[in-house]
Amino acid sequence: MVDGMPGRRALVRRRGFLGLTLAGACLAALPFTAGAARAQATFPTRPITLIVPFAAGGSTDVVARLVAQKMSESLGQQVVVENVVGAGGNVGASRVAKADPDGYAILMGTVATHALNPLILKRKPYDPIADFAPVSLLAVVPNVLVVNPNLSAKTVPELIALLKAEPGKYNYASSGNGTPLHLSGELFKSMAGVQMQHIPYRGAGPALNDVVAGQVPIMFDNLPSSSEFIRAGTLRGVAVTTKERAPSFPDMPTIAEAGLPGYETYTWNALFAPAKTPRPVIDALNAAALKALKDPTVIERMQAFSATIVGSSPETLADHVKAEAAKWAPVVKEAGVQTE
Amino acid sequence: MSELDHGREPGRGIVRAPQSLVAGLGLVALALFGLWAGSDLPQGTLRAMGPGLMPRWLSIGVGICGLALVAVSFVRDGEPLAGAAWRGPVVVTLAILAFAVTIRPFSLGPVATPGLGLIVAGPLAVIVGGYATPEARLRELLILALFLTAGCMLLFGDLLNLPIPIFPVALVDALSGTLSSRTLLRLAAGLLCVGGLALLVLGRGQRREGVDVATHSLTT
Amino acid sequence: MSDLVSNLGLGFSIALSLQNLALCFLGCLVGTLIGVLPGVGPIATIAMLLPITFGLDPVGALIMLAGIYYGAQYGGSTTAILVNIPGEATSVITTLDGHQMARQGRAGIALGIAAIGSFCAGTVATMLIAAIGAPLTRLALVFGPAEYFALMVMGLVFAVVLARGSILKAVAMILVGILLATVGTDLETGQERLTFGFAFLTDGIDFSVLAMGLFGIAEILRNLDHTETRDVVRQHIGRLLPGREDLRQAAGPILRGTAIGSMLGILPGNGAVLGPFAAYTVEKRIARDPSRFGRGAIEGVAGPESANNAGAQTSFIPLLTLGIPPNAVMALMVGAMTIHGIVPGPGVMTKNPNLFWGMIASMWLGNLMLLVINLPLVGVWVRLLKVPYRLMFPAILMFCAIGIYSINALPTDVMLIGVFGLIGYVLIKFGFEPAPLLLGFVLGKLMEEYLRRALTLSRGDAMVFLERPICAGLFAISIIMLVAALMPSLRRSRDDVFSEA
Repeated sequence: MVDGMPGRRALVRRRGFLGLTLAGACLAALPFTAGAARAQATFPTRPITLIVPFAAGGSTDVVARLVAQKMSESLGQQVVVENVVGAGGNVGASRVAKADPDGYAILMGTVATHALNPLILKRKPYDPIADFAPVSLLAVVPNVLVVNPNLSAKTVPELIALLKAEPGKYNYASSGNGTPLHLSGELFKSMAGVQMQHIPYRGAGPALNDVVAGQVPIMFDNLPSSSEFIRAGTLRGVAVTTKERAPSFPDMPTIAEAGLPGYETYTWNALFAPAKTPRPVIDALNAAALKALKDPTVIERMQAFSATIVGSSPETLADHVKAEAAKWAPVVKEAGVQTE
Repeated sequence: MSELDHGREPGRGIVRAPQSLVAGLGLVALALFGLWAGSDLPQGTLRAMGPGLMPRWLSIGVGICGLALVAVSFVRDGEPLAGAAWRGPVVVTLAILAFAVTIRPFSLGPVATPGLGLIVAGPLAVIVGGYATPEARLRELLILALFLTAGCMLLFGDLLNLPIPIFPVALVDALSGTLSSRTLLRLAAGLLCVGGLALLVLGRGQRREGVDVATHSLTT
Repeated sequence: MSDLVSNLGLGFSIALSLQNLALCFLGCLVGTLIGVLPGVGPIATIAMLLPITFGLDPVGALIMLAGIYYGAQYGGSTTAILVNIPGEATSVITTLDGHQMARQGRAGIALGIAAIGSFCAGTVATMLIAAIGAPLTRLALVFGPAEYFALMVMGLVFAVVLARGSILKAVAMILVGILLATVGTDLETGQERLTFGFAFLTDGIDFSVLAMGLFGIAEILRNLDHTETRDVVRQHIGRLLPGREDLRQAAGPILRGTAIGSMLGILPGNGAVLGPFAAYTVEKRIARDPSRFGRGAIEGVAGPESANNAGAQTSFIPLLTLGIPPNAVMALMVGAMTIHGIVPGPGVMTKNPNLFWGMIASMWLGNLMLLVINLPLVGVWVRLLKVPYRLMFPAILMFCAIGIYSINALPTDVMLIGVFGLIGYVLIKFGFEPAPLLLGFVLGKLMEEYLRRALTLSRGDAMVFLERPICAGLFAISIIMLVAALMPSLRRSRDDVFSEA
């Protein structure tokens, strides 16, 4: 115990010294900057944690890691990706909602954390609008309606006809209950007036396996995870769910143009900071994110991944979150997926 | 555990396998608990099995096993009840608890602990845990704690880059921006090692075994 | 055949480049390290190392990540043998006979056989992937939910067979294990089950938490009770490496384990997890004296370890040829590929032959490296057992706590290992074994999922399990095995069974 003391004293001394240096650095910076700009210039003084509320390796994680790496370069501080998994993204999102509003803990939010989960859960762990300060809508990922190649239906009208001919006979797979993919299927059912049984899986991987094998004929999936299967012909891409066709599959129609006008769903990724984060900090993060999205390698990787880069202002993202909540509320109600 | 409460069941009279009897009763209790806990879950049908179906049937299965064990305990001879020590379980649980509440800020109702990081939680777990055996010696445990913590900091924080809080939250805030976290980590690990070495040297004459242990443990 | 040779040639030309060799070695080294540390699993480590691989070319990055994966599988058995803590579901079995061998002073032989068995299995599995990997994936596609359910039931039958003491108690433990697996959010309806409103239970109980508690902490508590037994572990060390007699005894189990593990690893529904259990059951069934199992039989280490490693290798088949990740680590590999601009799917083999064959070649090299890294280390590990227990257990305690914390960054997980440790201690006191519980837990989760999916697909018609030939066949095997396992023990040693019950 006795020997521990000198070490501890040294540490304390060191801390005082470091404090002085810090103060000195701030003073030195003062004359050249003023007001908001000062906060912006000094904002990241330590590493920023970017919380991804989903497992490493998923599409949200990939977008986060691509962007985080480039943001680190322009911010001059490491942006560390931390996967805080659980409860369909709620654990990670709650953590950021409760974090200090200083911009050092930010969230990679998605349609699930900021539109669907708050609608699905009766007991709400956070408020997607009041608890967060929007930073930027980064990217939009189209969903896709795929079928096993042996299914007779090749187009949306044919599929609808098939489902109407034998109501309740067909199943469709999704990556889980209450996911955007599940609700895309439910929206399809209600808009087309058809019946099919939902089969939830633990993630897209096992679901794809069963659709490729023909155990389940129909699936709603993220375009990125299905794209190689469509290219290889082991799955047939029937239509994408976005308003416009996907650049990576220009020949594939949208569901809206193929028979269900007004049908539009997609998955999106956006950066959020805790509510009450100072505006200059938000601006600094927004600028770094936008810069990252202009990087050629990021553009190239996102394209290969079939994601569409957006890069919005904080205000646009705020409006987007409200619009999404309004769009999904009736679907969630109709699908009856509300839980405790 | 509730099983222990039954520890004073009748001895070697009618009951020929007391261990089985108590084990069986424990299983029955668990089964009843499972049935109660899952009673509010919908059972569903075979076509759409509800979330409550599996837990209910599993509980019933556990209960049947328990009853069978109870029945067997009256028929066949079996083991007597084993005695349990208290020191080990209690102290080890305390050590784990100490680690869990100090590694990062933790709040339970009105009580909240400050996040102290691995540099505090680690030694705490080793030293408290060490007292689970009556053979514990404070100096030895101190040396072990210092070296192990330094090793773990370097291994998990520096080498493997796992997101474990190393330092107290307050310290990190105070030092933010002045020193890269990695430098700080290495510095602190160095200090811990120096502390450990000093303790070793001080007690060198008394025991040699400590030397062996610390270095070996580090290589784990 | 000439295709195979030219493909493997291409693979080795890539894997033998200086950079890739170095990365493979680094991956194996880090993998072994995290595998040996109780609680720290490959998932957390690969997730953390993912960004570091950004700067590498994709082939090198994946070679390294693959190295971490099978290195960790391998290192996990070291911990299972030395301190009776299974780091992964697949090393639960190794604790049974491996740790018993260590207690008898034969830790070195157990570790050596594990290393040699794994290397042989890795070699065969690599050849298998190279030769018939692509056609074999068709097998994966005939396995639907009903078949997987049957497979999981078969796994539970294995658990009954491998029970050491009372069969009644083993069955009870399996059921409790499945019951524990149902805790958490229901996959189909999203409803919370048996969580009592605790937020940390909504995602269910983590395997590592349960394993670390029931094995790691409970083992510490038990050892604290018995000063004598734990001293046995560290007094005689015995010979370090397996001798000729050991090798002869282990040769058959290694071959059979490799075959079993390879077949199960190909299934994308995480069939690899069954490999070691199946191998153990087979060895115990065909052994002349099954009673040696659970008391330090070398076959009980050689078979499952080979199956484990073979399965770890062949589980790359569904990933590389179908683009479907069979487990969480493979899902991370998908992420790694995506970050590097390679979209996983059935096209990887034709579009990126460098990646595909380079990885396969590197797997064999990696296995060789593991052997080179680990055989000399056997001596170090065994000497570790000489550390006095009063110092060893606080260290294990700390590693467990850190490892568990690193998985989800949840202090509640750390507390849970304490709770499960106490439960495990009580179970031991009442003559229950934790291994069947853990097996029930691992398989139970999958089993319920597949059962419900199969029944939803068949609209509630249970005949689906008998109508599908593979499924019916698997059930038939399960029943035969169960009867075969129960009959002799009922007839021959009925007293044994019931007196222990």
